[in-house]
Amino acid sequence: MSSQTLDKLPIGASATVLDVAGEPALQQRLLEMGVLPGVQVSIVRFAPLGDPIEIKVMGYSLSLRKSEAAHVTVSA
Amino acid sequence: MGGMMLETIAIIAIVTIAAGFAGWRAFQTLRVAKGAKACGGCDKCE
Amino acid sequence: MSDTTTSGRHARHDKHTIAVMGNPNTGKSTLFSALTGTRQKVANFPGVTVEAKIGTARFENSELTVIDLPGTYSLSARSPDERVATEALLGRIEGTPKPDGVLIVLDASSLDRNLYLGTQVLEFGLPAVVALTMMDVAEARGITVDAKKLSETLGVPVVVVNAPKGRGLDELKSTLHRTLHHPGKPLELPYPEDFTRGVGTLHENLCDLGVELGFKPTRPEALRLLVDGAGPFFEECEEVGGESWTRQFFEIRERAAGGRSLSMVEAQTRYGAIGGWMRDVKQTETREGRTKTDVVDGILTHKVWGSLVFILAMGLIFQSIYSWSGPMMDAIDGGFGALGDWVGGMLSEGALKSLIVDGVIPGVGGVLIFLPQILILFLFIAILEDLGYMARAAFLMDRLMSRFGLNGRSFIPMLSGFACAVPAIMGTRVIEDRNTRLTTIFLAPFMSCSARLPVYVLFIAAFVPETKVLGFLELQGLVLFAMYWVGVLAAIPTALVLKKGILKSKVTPFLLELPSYKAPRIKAVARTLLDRGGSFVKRAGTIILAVSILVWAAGYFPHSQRVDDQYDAEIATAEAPYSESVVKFDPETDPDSLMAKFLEADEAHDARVAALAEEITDDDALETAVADSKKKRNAAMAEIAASSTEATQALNDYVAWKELSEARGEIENQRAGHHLENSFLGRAGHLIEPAVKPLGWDWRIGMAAIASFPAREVIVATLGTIFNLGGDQDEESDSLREVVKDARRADGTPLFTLATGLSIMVFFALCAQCAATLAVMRRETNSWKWPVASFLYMTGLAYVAALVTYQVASAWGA
Ligand SMILES: Nc1nc2c(ncn2[C@@H]2O[C@H](COP(=O)(O)OP(=O)(O)OP(=O)(O)O)[C@@H](O)[C@H]2O)c(=O)[nH]1
Ligand SMILES: [Mg+2]
Repeated sequence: MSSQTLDKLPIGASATVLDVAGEPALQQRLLEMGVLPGVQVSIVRFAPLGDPIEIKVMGYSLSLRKSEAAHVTVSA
Repeated sequence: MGGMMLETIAIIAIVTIAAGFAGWRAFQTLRVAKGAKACGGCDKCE
Repeated sequence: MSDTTTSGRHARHDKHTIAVMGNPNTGKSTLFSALTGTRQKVANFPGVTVEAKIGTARFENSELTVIDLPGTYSLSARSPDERVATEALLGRIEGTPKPDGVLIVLDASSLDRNLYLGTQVLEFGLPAVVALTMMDVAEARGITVDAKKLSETLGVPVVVVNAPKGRGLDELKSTLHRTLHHPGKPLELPYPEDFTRGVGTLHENLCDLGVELGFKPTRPEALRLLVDGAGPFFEECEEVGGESWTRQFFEIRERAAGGRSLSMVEAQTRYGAIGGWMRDVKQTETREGRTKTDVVDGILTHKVWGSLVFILAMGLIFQSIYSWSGPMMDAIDGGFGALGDWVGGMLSEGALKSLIVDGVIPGVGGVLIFLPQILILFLFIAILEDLGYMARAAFLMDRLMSRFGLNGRSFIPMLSGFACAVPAIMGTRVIEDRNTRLTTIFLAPFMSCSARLPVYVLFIAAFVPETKVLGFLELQGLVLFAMYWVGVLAAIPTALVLKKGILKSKVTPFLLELPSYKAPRIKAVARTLLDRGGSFVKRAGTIILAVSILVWAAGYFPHSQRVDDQYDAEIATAEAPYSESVVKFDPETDPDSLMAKFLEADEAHDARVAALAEEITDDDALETAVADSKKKRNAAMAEIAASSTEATQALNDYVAWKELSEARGEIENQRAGHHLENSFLGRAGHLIEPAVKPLGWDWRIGMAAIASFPAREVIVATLGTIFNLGGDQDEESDSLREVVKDARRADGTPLFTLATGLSIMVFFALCAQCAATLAVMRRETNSWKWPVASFLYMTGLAYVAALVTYQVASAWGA
């Protein structure tokens, strides 16, 4: 199974989170918000200026920047 | 002449009340600044 | 009497305090309001409530103190609002009682994530009740939640509520009542052994430290400290325990983690447990097709459509502020005019009459007249907030905002700054990074708040012609729109200077929940309008009334008798050439006299002319129509005059009386002007006049601007008062708009031109004339430095911008 980071996924793609890294505060926030290993995420849209992105996770919409999504490794 | 007196008293009373009220509001604003009053202190937006 | 005491004692006996905890935007404040009968601000975006609010809920004979708190996703607080929530739970906020129970609010439509915080709170072991909200939203998405099973799993009562519809509230109250009498049982989760041991060790360690800390930390607090390794509690321990404690602490952490990061351990344990529970509790039926929110988002956050809708919405707001408010404004205006005339007729000439007719009525009335515009503005803001657009706006703007070193999160407080800067500044509590927050606080007052609206509307109505651009856009609405941009354009370079200079910070995370769209509830919107409208009226009746009275007093006294005597003599001189019947004639007392008949014919002509001026726009056509009306009048007068010799005499008297009335009016105006110049206000005004002259202002505008320090809209009141005192209007019932148009300088040229009007508007767009904003700035930054800097910067900027505006506009010939 190959892996890539969340910010690289195209609109409409779904994937499973494999790992969440980043500096401690960001990592903790992502985990709390439900972005943690084993969870299914999908890309809903990009903001008109290309950043941030909107993802669907645990049944709700979360927006985060690409730079933050880059710390999330997902299955491809 | 009595009317004049009464009028003068009324004016003094009204202006004093207005000044007192304005002063009180200024004091409340200062309390907001010091954090003693929880609300924002602008009743446009309670 | 004895009855109330008994029930009072009973109530005291039963006194409990509960804290409302939950994720943001889950309906906590809606529920709080329904329980306590208060009106908390409610809106559809995360971060509405940013401070602890206390209310009382009554159930049968007992009282329950309820604390509404900001929403938070976890107890690891990072932003000031989250800190309020976590500190309040622990009873560490001054002036807020320590809760002995919790009401955990869970959003049924995203139960998993909501339970993350839920489990954290339940570990504290306080008596707890879960309120399950948004069941309707969940159902619409095909999610069913079994409340009974959830209750069994968590070991606490679960009540399904729908606060907007008033459902489940009684059951919730009685459940709370029952539950609070029993001690709660802490929830236990299957943490890895290393982790549990680590928490235990740290807890013991903290208990040893407890004497010096001044309180006995609980096990869940030890858990939080272990995982977070930061925050106020950590700093406290560090200070008390010294370096050796810190070293021990990090050793304990190291061992507890077992190779992973502690937050990963915590999250995996919690979400692991939650996932297991959900298999029993929750059923999801996958629905084909897109949800309503997806469809709406497809448009509103679309590159092209989104911007188009945004521009259309803005256009609608500014157009409607002009086109919808007219009739209501006229009604209020007419009402105050009539009131002024009526009161004026009742009171005899003197200070008291002047106080009411020149001070109070134009002051308070002059502000109240803008109620319709304020309501329209708040209507649109309420709809945007309730719809769920605010978070989308932050999503759309984050990229742009980060160019200025800010964060999309800063955009929500700034948007609410268009209503009022005070809640906007408080709303910045959702921003984690201190420097980003300070910058946002500094920028919030640049957004054109509702208090500027009266200033804009007044001067635009007076000086911008009522024409249409491109056939459908009202020019006045466009100018208003432009005024809103003045503040925004000033904010951008300010942000750049601040963020690149003194308030640098590293890039801060932007993790924002986008709530689902909800149709704005008419009842809620109507209530918001009623509240806002009520506050506006209250302000007019309190602080604006007080300032009007004070400005009046400063502008009326000393009111020297010498001046009066001088003008009385002038009037006597003016009256001398006329016969007694001319001097004494008063249409009010002799309405049936012949002279009054001529006056009637004259007034009928004036009324016709006024009506014609409304109807006919073409100048030439108007001129002919007016000439026609004049002929009609002259014919009517000639007919009356021809009826008898007395009537012929009366016509002569009437013409003489009219002449005299004008002369008398002129002298009265001079008298009023002289008194005003001589007053305390006038003398102070002449001192400051050189400072405001370059802006195209005279001393009266300058003083009105200074007097509006308590709040910007006060300038409308003070201008009304000053011009009434100064006799700058012919008849009592003129609206301020007319007064402003007619006001003259000492040399007889019009005081206000388009250039002066623009200069005043630009000044008020940028100045810091709002005491409440400065006070809240002081409180939120905990230093006078910021409000002082803001005041100086904004005032300076306002002055320079107004100066440039005036000089450029008048050079252009405006
Ligand atoms: N459909 C539905 N909407 C609800 C319900 N309860 C509240 N709302 C709406 O949800 C939105 C958020 O409500 P608030 O009470 O402001 O939420 P809050 O939890 O106080 O939010 P924060 O103060 O930001 O933490 C508002 O638009 C409410 O009208 C519910 O049971 N069903
Ligand atoms: Mg709330």
